[in-house]
Amino acid sequence: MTSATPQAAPVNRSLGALLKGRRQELKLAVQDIASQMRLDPRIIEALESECYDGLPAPLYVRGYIRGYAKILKLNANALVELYDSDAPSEPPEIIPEVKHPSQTSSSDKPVKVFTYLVTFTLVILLIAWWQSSFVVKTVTPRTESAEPPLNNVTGAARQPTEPQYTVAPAQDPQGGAYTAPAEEPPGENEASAALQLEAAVGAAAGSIVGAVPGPDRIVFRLNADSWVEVFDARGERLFMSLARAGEVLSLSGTAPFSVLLGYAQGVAVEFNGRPFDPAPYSRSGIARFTLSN
Amino acid sequence: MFSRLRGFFSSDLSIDLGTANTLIYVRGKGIVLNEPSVVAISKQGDTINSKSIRAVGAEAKRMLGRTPGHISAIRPLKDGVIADFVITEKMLQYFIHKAHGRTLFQPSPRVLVCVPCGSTQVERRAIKESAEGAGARVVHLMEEPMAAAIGAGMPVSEARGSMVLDIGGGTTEVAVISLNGIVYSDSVRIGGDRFDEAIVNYVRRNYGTLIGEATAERIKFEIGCAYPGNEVREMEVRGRNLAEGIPRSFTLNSNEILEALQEPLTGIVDAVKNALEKTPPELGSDVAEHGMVLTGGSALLRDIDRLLMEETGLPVIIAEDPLTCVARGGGRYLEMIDEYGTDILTVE
Repeated sequence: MTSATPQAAPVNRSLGALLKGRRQELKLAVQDIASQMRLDPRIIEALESECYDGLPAPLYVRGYIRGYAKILKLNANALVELYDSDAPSEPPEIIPEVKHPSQTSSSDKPVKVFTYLVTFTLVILLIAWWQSSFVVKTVTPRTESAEPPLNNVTGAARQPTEPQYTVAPAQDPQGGAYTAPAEEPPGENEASAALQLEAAVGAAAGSIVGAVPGPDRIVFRLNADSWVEVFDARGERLFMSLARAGEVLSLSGTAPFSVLLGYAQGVAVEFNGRPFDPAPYSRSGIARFTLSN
Repeated sequence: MFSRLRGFFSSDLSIDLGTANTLIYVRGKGIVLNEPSVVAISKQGDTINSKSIRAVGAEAKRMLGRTPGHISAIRPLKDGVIADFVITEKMLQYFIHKAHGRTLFQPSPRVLVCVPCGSTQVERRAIKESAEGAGARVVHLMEEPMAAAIGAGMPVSEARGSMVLDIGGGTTEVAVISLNGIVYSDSVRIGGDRFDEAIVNYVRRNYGTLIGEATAERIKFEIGCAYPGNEVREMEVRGRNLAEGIPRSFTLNSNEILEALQEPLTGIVDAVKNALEKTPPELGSDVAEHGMVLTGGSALLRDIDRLLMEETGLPVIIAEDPLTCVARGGGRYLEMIDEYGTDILTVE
């Protein structure tokens, strides 16, 4: 690569001056050098005048300098070093040909922030829900049981379509105790009886009264705790709760009633004054049946 | 499962898996390994395990042609592609370990391997699997001329034709590159090995003497040339005389070697002319204006640039440090993968 008889390049002279001086010393024209190197004479001139702007990448320029040095029998390495110190250059950048739109990824800042926000909101909501459900749990039984029975009767009278329940003290656990809505037909004997019964305070066991206007009446006498669900002909809920042992549940509405008893053995059912046996409908204690006239 | 964790402790490698030499460029460190692609194995049964490998690299190369019966020194790559899959894998494993140095974890690096542009899908897959088998976490493949052009510092991203000629040990790759892509590429299976073979054949034919490949390579380095020069260099060589059966010494000169190398050199010149013929005219004029760049170990053959200059009439430039261009180019590409992704260049 380097010529056989390299001549040490004096360091005090510039690269262009060195090349030009040596070429003139050897009595060579720019054209001769260019034809030997198969290059455009302009490139040789640019090298001698050190105008590197119009020349290709540094790799090529170094190659030209080596070739030129070989012809002039100069030390190629020294000249290339001179060039590198004159025009220090980085290798050309590799620029991606097409800029691909960057795909949004989970590591992007907006996505991260959004994720944290959503997570934070969810956590807040979760805490709020947990708190509220705890409050409801503790409050519900109190509101159900603490209301005075008479208030409830009036409430039921004001809103006849809404079923109202209350635990009313009854003198006789076996006797049916119930409320009767104000609009109830006056011919109903049981209604007045219930009102009378309700007035009596200080019973041992409670009775629950369903106050929905209707001609039919259903009475549950509970010997054991049981879940009771009753819906009337319109699908309206008359009762749905856990009834305690000893309670008497008297509900009125329009037959047919669809009934669910959680513990059928512990409940005696009476429909329009006739006893009804839920045993045939009972499957592993749970009875589901419809009562109609 | 742990490859990602181990990858955290591993550096990215760019490997020039050449027929003659394997070079490894480690990201941030530069070229850390440059060893011949030779493995010496001892034959114990049919299976090859890590115990049967006696030596790899420079040590194994010294054994080439000098082994006793139970050891054989093998070059697992031929013509730029894998000839012996298992041994290549073992060799790569050894080189990757060596390039990495001692670490607590077994290295699991991201690896870029350069493949000849003329290699088939099967050959590429073999190289990829071999690197994976050697412990690489991810393997990228890149075509050698592109890596060579980047390593040499050619402006591959510009809308300008750049011609690169990479003369390696097994193959010669010629390519015209513009806008990060290869416009034309060709690979001929002529390289340093063919030069050695040609020298062995020449000596046997003209001197009736047999010399080994290692000797032929030494002759090529010392007095080999591609174009007649003013000075004639001589060298004394020893080989086994075929007629007498006794080692004899004789003197070879550079003109004889030039004559010996005519056939493979003509093959390379033809490939270049063919490439120039098939290059689109605009790119061809760019090449004619600035010249073509030579890379690869065989670019160090004396006056090969002169030969190509005379034959094609174009300026020819030898890249700085042509032997390591491919590995360095691969390394630069590897450094850019993180920034731009794998689709910056047309690879694989």
